[in-house]
Amino acid sequence: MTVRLEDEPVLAAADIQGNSLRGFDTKYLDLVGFKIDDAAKSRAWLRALADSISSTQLVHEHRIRRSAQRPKISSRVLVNAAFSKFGLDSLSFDTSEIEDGFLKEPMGSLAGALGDRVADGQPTDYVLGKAVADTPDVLLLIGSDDDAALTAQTASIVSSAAAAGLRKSYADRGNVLPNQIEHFGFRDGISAPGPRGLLAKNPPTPLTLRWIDPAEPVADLLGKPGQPLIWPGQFVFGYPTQSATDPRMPQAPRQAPKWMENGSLLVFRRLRQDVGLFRKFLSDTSTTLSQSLGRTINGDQLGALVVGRWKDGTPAILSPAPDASISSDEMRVNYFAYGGIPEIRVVRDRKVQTIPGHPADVEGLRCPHFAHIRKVNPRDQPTNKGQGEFTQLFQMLRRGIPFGPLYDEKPEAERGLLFLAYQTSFNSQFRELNTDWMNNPDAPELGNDGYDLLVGQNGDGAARSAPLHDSTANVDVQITAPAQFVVPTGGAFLFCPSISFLRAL
Amino acid sequence: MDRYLPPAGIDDFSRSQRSEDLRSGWNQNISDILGQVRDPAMYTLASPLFYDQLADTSGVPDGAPVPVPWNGFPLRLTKWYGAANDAQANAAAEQMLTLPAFGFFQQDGTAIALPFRIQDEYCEWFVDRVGDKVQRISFTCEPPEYWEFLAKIDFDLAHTLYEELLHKSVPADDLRWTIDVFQKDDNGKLVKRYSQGDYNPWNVWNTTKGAVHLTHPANSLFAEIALGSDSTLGWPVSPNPQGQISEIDLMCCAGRGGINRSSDPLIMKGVFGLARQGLSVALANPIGLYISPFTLGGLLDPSSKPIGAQALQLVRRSTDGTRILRVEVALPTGASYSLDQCSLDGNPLRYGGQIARNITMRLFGVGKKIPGKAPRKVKTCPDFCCFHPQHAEFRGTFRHSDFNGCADITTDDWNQEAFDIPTAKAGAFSFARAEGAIAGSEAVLVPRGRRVEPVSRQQKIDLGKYE
Repeated sequence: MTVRLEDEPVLAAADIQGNSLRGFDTKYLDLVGFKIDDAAKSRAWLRALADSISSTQLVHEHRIRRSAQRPKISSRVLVNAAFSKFGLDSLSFDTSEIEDGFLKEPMGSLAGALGDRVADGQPTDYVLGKAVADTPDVLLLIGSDDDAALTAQTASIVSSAAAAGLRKSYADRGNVLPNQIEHFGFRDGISAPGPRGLLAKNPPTPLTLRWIDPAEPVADLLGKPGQPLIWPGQFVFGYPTQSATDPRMPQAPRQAPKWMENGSLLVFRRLRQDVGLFRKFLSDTSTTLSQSLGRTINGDQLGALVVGRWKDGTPAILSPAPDASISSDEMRVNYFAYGGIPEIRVVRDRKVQTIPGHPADVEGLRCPHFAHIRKVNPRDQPTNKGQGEFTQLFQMLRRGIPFGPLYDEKPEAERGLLFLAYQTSFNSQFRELNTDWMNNPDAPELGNDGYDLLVGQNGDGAARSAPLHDSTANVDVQITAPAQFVVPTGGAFLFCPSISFLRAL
Repeated sequence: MDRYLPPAGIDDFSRSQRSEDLRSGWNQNISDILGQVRDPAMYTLASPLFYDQLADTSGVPDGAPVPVPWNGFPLRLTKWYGAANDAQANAAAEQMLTLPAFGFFQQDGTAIALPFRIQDEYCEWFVDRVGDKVQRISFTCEPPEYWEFLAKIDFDLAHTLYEELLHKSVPADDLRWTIDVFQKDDNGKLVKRYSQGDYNPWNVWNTTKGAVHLTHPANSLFAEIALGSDSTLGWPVSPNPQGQISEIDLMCCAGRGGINRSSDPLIMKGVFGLARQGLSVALANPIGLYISPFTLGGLLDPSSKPIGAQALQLVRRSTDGTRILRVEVALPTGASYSLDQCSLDGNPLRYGGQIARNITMRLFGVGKKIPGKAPRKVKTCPDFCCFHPQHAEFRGTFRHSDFNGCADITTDDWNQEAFDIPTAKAGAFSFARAEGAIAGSEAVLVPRGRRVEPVSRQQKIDLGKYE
């Protein structure tokens, strides 16, 4: 059985907020948190805000229009809203039906479960979300490619919110860095699942573009090479979910109260990055590694092992060095699987092109098991949680954006990543990837995996290690990160409702 | 001379007057199991690539131990109820079955039904309740073979350990069989397995009143060893163009272990992968099934304060802490609330399964290239797979010799395959194999949910010679 386009659900794209299924993809993104001081006025203000919320339909059309512009930027401002449970409580909304435990707690209460540093039961590094009092009731996501337009719009929203009893309690501005890198210098946001589902046009069109030659047997499983199509119930309530055994077989929507339909769960993690420390680790460790292996390993090579990609995005499994022919081709840059993968044909510019495959690396000789991108997505490999297909159940729609200036421009400034990810179960998506895999040195794959040295947390600040087998020297070495380069500084577990939910507040 | 140590190298034996008997006896026990599995006269699936780590005389050094991880919560239940239905699976996991699933009989030929937990990932737990208040949740991965051996040599020590581990006074006689227990040999003749007064692994204090060691028919050291050995056979599974074997293809072909589990597909694929390269494989001393180190940072008291560090006790483990056998979750003395008033990752703590989902289990294997050793070829796949007609994530493995294809599989066959999975209706659970319909009858249930059969059961598998 293959999945035909007409087998996919029609999405309520005018009702689903646009940053979840489609993603703003703006150059700047303001995150503004509010506490509700006046419930009645706030409710009215939020009802009115519904008209300004950018739907999936709107964001989709905006991005298509923008892609035709040169340069590909727009002064349009996009707005989305999310609530903590405490915000819904403040509005006297009945939250007793919420089943997802993470949504019921401030992030600070679960800091220990997330691997964050804790002392006397309290997170030590949080700047927001330690407790209910400093968890935003409402978080607005306001994005634009135009700095000035965004500044003006955000100021206007904050001002009108204040008049309606919504007190600004937190704000950060995210800004895309040159070449789409994160602060350690690696191109980010390459790998993302493609939500299945149709936009109601005549004829209906898929939300996720389909590039695979229809003659390929996996044409109904991929958006582009390396991008699995995932049933949208993994990201938005009310739609079919993914099967653990057959990606073609939609499963029942996740159980949730009716008012959550067309909404998503959003985890926001404010991650501070210590670029100086990361560079020192690469420099120091590449020196000792060179001695152990008897040949020169430079910092970029070590970085590629830790991340799983070269700085330009070339997957380490595909090339022993950065390769622009791979990294600049969106059909190649994410087309890999650790068990190897055959060549595949895509239709691009109305021509059929062949994207090359590659041999397996089950043992992790080219891309180690501890590499960040492998720890959070072992792709086709069986894991401690079951066969390879299970891994797709844990994936989220990541919409993170860096914050702060580049290290080389202002070393003393704070910088990092505003990690944002949409899903329908914190417990079986975010927690699986964060806690069961990223922070767990004993999983997910066969063998000694070790810590995710890039992002993995161990809570106690102790050194984290991962084993590297170097096939050239046939030597096993331990790579040790003496400190955390990425420090979670708070965040929140949020519900991103449908636009009709906002209207009905 | 090196000896096989008890699981995790746990040092119970030094507490016994017969410590040397225990040490040498346990070593002999493990050596005997390995000997049986490696002897083609005793085990028809014996594999030349499966070696005894301590008895190997090749002179080739072992590689470093390689861990194989899996999750402690029964994946069979997740597949049965669906990945989006954790709550039902959590509740189901704590049901207990009483079935004649162990092949035991009374002297008059009546099958003996015994209670066991349906937690089949080598990780079992017991929830101590006083009324409806949860006082303690205990997790164990200790194999029944160890406790049976310990009690045989020093029953008093086993009894003392029971009382220590359960924090209760345990009448010693409760741990003993009250009847003689028999098994059938290959000719169907009853042969005594236990005498009245011997240690009963399925006693009330290890089943309905507590958990000291594993009880599920598939959760045994023998099952671990046999699956390790079976995985080194030359199963006729075709690799994909990249040279990779699908773990599902392998499980479907071999019909060994449980295709719906977390552990077995990964164990089989990993070990088979080594054997395909011509490596011989052994289980690393001390042979066992282990809980990996973990924390419970998400356990909060009723005021949302973290209490995981105080509540989690790693009760039995190796001296280096890497191999854990027993874990208890209990509140500090004097706490004014019970565990069911706490939350785990924001959800009220209702079931041990919520914690089991946080537990990574492991075993450790070693491999090396021994000159002259090659895989024993299996000529044709003995088994094939089908999906359950109502539970689309749940597979079954069936013998080609018994069925022509999936269309042949009846409801009763599926009930046999899913023998230990309760069906939820109106808040209560029932089992496909009604307990009363079998218990006490002549029929002995042969659980197929995880197929690792006794050494004596002859296999209809077309194998090459053991060389």
